Amino acid sequence: MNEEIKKGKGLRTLLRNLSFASFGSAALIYAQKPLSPVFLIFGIVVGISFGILYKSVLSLLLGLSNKELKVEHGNKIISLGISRGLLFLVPFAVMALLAAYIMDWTITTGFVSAGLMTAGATITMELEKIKGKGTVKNSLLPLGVSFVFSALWSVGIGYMAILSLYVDGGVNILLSLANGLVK
Amino acid sequence: MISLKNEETHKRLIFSTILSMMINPKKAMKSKIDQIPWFLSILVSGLAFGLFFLQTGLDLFKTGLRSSNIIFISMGAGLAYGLIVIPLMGALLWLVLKMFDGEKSLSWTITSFSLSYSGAMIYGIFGLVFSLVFGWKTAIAFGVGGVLWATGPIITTIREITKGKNGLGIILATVIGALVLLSWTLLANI
Repeated sequence: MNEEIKKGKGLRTLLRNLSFASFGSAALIYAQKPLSPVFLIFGIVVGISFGILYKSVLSLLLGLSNKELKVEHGNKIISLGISRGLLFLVPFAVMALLAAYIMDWTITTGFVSAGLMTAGATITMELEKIKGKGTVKNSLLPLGVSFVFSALWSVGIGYMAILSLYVDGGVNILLSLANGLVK
Repeated sequence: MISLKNEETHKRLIFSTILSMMINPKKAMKSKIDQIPWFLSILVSGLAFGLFFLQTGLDLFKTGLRSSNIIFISMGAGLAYGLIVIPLMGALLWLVLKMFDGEKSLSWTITSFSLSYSGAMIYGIFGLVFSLVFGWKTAIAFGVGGVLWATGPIITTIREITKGKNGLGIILATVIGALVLLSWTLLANI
């Protein structure tokens, strides 16, 4: 099982971070400046931070409710189930990027909600596969956490969009000051 | 009397499969898909896309961008998309998965793929109600939302056919989802 955990770990982490970065940049793209590096970087940071928080909460709660699994297969076994499930965010992330950058949509919350709920359901399946049987706890916990985080994203992304304008303003002031100093 | 009872059981099976495909597709695929004729499953995808495109037409009409004709043209295009294009995509998926030792039959793949849009059909019904009763613009929230929910069952279909090949499921579901979104955008702009 240890080899299975290590196999493809880097790729899983990369794809997970890319998915959340895509959600963040697609959600915080500024219609007037779609390729502005400030909005892009801010979106990527927000997306990846959200992803880290989501995965941490899942790891904590599923770890606490699957102690026997950790004793049997080691501490990283829950992470394996979660990171395999989170791979299923990739289709939603690609579609969110298409919607934001090709179809010019400004609302991409639906992609995150559907992605998180699908990932939650897949984490349940992955844990069932590892454990050899399904449990109510492992069915409800990933879905419950995904639902809460989906709601958190829907509410929080509006505030992040406002914050991104302040960040952009702040960066512009700093750049003007820096240009003034150089001259 | 017996045939009436059978008809009732059959109806119940169809409704429970539609709900199951939305909530727990893996369970539906293990126990129910074999009992659903493929032509009934394409009615589900036909209705799903008919309702989705109908809402697109209604939204375009409400915003004053197009005349009322667009409502019927969109609905027709959606029905054709769900009845013809989706089963064809299912057949293409079967062909691709055959190369990766896919074990399921063509009719099983088309049935399962078309029924993946069960959630989209239910979203479509709710969207139409909100569009007609409350005057909301529902194509993106309910229409696209429903199509996005199909991604999960599509991945489950591919996993089931390939005995759990996650990577393939993710790649193919991404391509299918992107194709459906792009083709809808193209049709909405004609």
